[in-house]
Amino acid sequence: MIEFVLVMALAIALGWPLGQYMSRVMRGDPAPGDHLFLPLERVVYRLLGASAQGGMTWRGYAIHFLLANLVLGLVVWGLFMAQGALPLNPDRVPGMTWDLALHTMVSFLTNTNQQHYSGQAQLSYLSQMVGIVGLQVITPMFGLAVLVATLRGLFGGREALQSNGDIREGVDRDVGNLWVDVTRGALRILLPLCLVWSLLLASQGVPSTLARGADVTPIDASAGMATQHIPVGPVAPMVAVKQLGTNGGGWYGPNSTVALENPTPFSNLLQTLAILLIPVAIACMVGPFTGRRRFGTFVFATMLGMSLLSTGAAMLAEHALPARATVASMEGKEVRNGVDASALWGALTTQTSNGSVNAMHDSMAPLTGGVEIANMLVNAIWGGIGCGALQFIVYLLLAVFLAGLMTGRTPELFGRKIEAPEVRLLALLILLQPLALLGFTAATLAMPALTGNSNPGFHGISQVFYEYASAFANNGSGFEGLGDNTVWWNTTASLVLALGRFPALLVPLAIAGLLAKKRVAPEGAGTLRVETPTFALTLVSIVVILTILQFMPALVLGPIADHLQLLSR
Amino acid sequence: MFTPAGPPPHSDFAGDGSRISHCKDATPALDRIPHSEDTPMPPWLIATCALCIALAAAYLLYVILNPEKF
Repeated sequence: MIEFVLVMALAIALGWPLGQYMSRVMRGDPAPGDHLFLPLERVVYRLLGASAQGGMTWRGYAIHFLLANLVLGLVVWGLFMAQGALPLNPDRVPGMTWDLALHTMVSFLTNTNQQHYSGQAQLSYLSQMVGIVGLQVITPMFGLAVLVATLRGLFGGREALQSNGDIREGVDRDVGNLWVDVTRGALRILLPLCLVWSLLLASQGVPSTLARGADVTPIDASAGMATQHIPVGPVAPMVAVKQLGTNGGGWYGPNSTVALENPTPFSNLLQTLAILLIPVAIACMVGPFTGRRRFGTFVFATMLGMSLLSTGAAMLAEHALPARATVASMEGKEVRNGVDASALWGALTTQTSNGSVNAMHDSMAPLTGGVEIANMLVNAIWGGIGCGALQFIVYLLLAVFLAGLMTGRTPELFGRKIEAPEVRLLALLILLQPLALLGFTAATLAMPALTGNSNPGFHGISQVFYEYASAFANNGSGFEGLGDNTVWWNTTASLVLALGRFPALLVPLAIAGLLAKKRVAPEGAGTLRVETPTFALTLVSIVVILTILQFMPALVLGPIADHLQLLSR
Repeated sequence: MFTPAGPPPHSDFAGDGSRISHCKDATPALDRIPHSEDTPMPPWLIATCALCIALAAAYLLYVILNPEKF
C-alpha cells in the first residue's frame, strides 16, 4: 500500500511539470534547452530530408506515418532474420525464422513488445540495440505525434490552436508536421529521461556492457549443469526505454523478475514509476497544449479515477485469495518483490499499455488477472504514449454522440457537429476490437493442436484471451502458459497487433481532420458541456457498459469462472 | 495452478533456474504440449492467407483515409 501511494504521488508530482514542458515542446513554443536541441533537430531534419517549416493535412500526416512504419518494419524484419551473419553477435545467435521475426518486428513496431522469444538467447546485440531499442524509442514518439496532431485537429488545426481563433471552413487544416513532432518528442522528452533512468539503473547494478557474459559453475549441483552462461549486455539503457516508453519488452525473457534486470527495491521503485511517468505527463499536457485547462483537468481526473479504482481492485483481489491458494500463487512471483509490489506493477503495466512484468501474471489471483484483462480492453486508463489519450478521445466522441441521442440534441464536440462520416469511423473502430479478440480466441480454442495451451480449464481460456487482448491493446504482457512460438500464434498475433495499432491511431486522427474543417457553433446554454464531473461519470459508465456488452461472456468463462472454481474447491 | 486437471502450468523452469515466461522453446514442460509444429501449415495456405490479409488491410486503410466516400 505504501508503494502504491508513493508511486502515484511521485508520478503526479513529476508528471505535472513534465506535462507543462511537453506542451511547450510539442506546440513549438520556446522551451528550456532550445539552444542545445535546435541545432540537433536541424541535423536530424537534414538527414531525413524533411522540412521543419511545412505543415501537413491529416491525410498527409497519416500517409507519412504509414510509409515510415512500412520502411522501418521491412528493415527490422530483415535484420532479425539475418542477424546470424551480422556483426555485434559474440554469442553467435542464429537468425530468427520468418514467422518469429515477423511477430517480433510487428510487436515492436506497434509499441507492444509482446515477446515469443527470449531476448538473451535469441537476439544478437545488434538486433537488441538497433532493431529493438531503435523501435522502442521511435514508436512511442509516433504515438505522441499522432495524439498532438489529433488534438490540433479537434480544435480546428494548428493555426486556430496557436492563434486561439478560427479560420475558413471546408478546407483541410494543417495538423502539424510528423517529422518535427517525432524528432522533438524523441530528442527533448524521451531520450533525456532515458539517459537519467539508465544511469540510475546502472547505479543499482543493472548490467551495461558490450562484453560477452561469463561462464560460471553453479553452486547447486542438483541443477545438473557443469557450467552456466550468464547473459549480460547493454541492459540498463534498454530497461530505461522499455519502461519510460510504454514498451515493455525486456532484455531477458522473464523481464523485470530477473535479478539482473531489476536487482534492488530502489530499481523496482524506479521501474514502477517509469511505467506511469509519461502517460501521466500526457494527461497533464492536454490542458496547456489545447489552451483549455478545464478539458485537461477533465482528462486527468477521469483517468486518475479509473486508475485508482483499477489498482485498488487488483491489489484487493490478490489479498482476497483463499488461504490454501496463497502459497501456490507465489510460485510465479518474485519473493523479493512480494504480493503488493507485484500486483501494483501488474495493474499499472496493463493500465498504461506498457506490458513489462515483475511477476508472472499467470500466477496472479484469477480476479487480478481479470482486472488486468479489463484494463487492456478499456486501454484508456492512462494508456500508452499517445494511444491511450487517443482511445480516451474515441470514448469521448462516443459519449458525446450517445448523450446527444439521449437528450435529442445534435452531438457536438467543442462546437463542431459529429455527423455520419465520423460516427461510421467510430463504429468501425469499436467493432474491430471484439471481432479480432473474440474471433481469434474462439478459433484458437477450437483447435487445441494450434493453441499449445498448458492448462485445459478456465485458466486456459484466460491464457488465450489474455494473449490476444494484450496484442490488440498493444500491451505486450503475457499470461503465458502457451507454446506461442509457432506459425499460428506468430501470424495471428501479428495481425491482431497491427489491427490494434494502426486503426486506433488513424481513426481519431481522421475524425479530428474531418471536424477541423467544420464551422464552429458558438457555445450557448444548449451546448452539452463535456468538462464536468457529470459528463466524466457518463463517459466512465459508457466505457464500462461497452466493455461488459462486448466481453462479459469471455470474462465469465475465463477469470470469473476460475475464481468461482477456486472458491468451491 | 487453479485447475483440477492437466499438467502443472507453472513447471516451466529453464535450466538456469529462472522461470522463462516468454520463450517456450527452451521450456521442458511445454515440450509435452502438442502444438502446430506437429502439423505445419502448407506454404500455399500461408500465401493465400497473406494475400487475403493484405487485400483486407489495404481496403481498411482506404476506408479510413477516405471517410467522405463511405
